[in-house]
Amino acid sequence: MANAHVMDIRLRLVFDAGFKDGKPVFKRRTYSRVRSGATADQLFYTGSALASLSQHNLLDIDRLETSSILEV
Amino acid sequence: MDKTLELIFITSEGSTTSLSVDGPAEPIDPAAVQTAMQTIIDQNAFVSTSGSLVGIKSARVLTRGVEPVDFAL
Repeated sequence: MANAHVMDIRLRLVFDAGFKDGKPVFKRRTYSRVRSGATADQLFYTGSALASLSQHNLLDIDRLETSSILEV
Repeated sequence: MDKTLELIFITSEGSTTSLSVDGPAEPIDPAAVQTAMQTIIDQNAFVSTSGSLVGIKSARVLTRGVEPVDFAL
């Protein structure tokens, strides 16, 4: 038996950085130390606030969760 | 010149922590920066090593210049 134990949660913003060689280019910025209880709403408004200060258009807000798989 | 906007917050334990935005929209609008920082505080989604974000301390723009080294070949 094994369990997944959440170790770390990050917020990732994906921006539109135009085109290169005819392909879309994405710029990603990751922020660490997200509170484990942070809701989708809180992450949405936080991500939107950070993105509002950027010159790039925000395409996506991601929540990245890293879990450690431990044998019980 | 690469620019980074650094948002510096006061934490609940009386320390500071920062969040950065690469390629900030220019000209920098102080009111917009303040509004965004207050939203980040209100949403309380981050927790730093010195507690949650409770206040605005300051904001600054960092500019990084890159100068190649010329080798006399």
